[in-house]
Amino acid sequence: MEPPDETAVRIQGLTKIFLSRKGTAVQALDSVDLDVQRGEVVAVIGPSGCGKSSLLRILAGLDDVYDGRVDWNVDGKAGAAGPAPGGEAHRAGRLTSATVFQSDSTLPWQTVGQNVRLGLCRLRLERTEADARVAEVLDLVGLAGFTQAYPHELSGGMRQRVAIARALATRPHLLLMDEPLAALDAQTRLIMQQEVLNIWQQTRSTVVYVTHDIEEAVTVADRVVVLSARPGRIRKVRDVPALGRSVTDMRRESVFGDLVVDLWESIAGEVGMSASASSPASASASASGSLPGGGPAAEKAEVAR
Amino acid sequence: MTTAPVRSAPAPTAHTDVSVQVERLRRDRTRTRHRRQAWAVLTPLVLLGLWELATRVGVLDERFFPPPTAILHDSLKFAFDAQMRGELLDALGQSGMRLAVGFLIGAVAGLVVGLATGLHPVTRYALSSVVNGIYPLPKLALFPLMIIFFGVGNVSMIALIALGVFFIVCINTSSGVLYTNPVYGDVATAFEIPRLVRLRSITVPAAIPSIVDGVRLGFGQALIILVSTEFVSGDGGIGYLIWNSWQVLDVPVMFVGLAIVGLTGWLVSAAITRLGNRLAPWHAE
Repeated sequence: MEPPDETAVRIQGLTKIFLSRKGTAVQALDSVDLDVQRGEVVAVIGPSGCGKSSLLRILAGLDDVYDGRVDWNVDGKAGAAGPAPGGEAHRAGRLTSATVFQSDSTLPWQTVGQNVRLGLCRLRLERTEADARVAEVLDLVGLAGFTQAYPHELSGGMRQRVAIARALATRPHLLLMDEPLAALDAQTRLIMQQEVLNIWQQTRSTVVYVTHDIEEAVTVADRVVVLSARPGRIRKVRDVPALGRSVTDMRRESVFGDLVVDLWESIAGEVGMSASASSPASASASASGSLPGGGPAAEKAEVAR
Repeated sequence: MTTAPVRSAPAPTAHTDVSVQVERLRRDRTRTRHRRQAWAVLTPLVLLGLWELATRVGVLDERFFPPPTAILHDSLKFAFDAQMRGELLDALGQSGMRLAVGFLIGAVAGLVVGLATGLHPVTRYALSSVVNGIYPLPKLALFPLMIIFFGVGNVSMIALIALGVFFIVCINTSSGVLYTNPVYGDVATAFEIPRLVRLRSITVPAAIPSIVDGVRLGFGQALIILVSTEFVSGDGGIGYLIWNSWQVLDVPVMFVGLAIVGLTGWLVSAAITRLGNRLAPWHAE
């Protein structure tokens, strides 16, 4: 038997333009080409407002106004699916994609169990199957005893675990994470990075992970994609060598530090700054960001300002 | 406040028994709560006492401001005099029916239209000028119009109450739907949640705090319209009781009527707030 095509999603010439509130055109993405392989974790980083979130929203099905192609390969045959998350995949009891959002996205009027279960609605699973999945993912994220709890009884980190569990329960062909740990404090973030690594170890998920935290990208990803300043183009793709499974151990590796600095320098170059302290900003580098900012793609975090 | 000096506590170690301190914190909290509740009860009592004093001394004219004890005395007549009791119960029955029916119709219609305008931009724009044009009108100004449509009597009064409640509930529901955290909508879309489930499990629950606010304000509006239409139409009810007792200078009865309306508004509003806290416990904190 022919080995199946291992591409999970193929993005070709993806361009996204949106209108700001004042009616000025803002180009968020400029012909982005990206293949995500099955079982691979791809981190997307880039300067503030470079279109990371636009890319993710398109993959999540939250934005269907764009130019270019997004081809989903949900059953191992190349080009089998349409440009947007389609209906074919549901028969297998999996969503095409599931998203973990940056802000707290748990529904406060539902228990943890109901929150996770809501994500399964579309799949029309048998009751026993749905129950089993909810129990399984809550166990996986370490919330087994909290099925009946309400989100407001949990800490921010625990609520984000609920959101991760909700996404995992749908066994998505592509798991999308939009700065999932950005709203957490530094210690919790590190703990959650370890959790996320452990979870992926067990689930072998295919993931697109958007973050503005370069260390986090290197920690969680197999491959890091650097987007340029707006309009976002792919500026650099770096494979992350296997660094072990521990978030603390991998930070001891010199490779880790080198990669972080290397990625940081390419981002700093994008926003017209040098990463080293002495040299002043070069004027021309930020010229690509000449279109006015603002709008949904604008990031909260300011890089190198 | 009897806060013992910190020094009296034993030096903090990992396994110190802190039950004494905990007990003291609990006691302080209970005391604070009781003190606040006492203020809520005492203030109106003091005001009533001043009123009583003012009429007894002669600062207030007793014909128009009978002392609270006299009003209480007169109100007891409603309990013992069969004819007066009958009149009061009739008035309460009429007003209660108008209020309940008008409020219910207005609230349900407001909820439905509010959801529609909140969810559907075309509907929102189509109805915006109508809703925003009629909403600020004093509803009593529309009473003649209601009488033209529905004739003199209960129906026109109920219709006006319903109209008043409708606008408040509609506007609050609509903004509740529009201004909820957009991430909830993103969750619904990203997980491809079917429309009915989305409405039932996401859109409506997210709007509940705002809807409950609308219902509470709507009830206040309903009371205002009820009493004022009853003033005008002379067709029985608690508003008529107030107006009529003023006309015949039976001032204590007027105050009894005012007290009934005031208490109703207060109690129902508190009940709606409680209901809101039960429906949206995450919002109550």
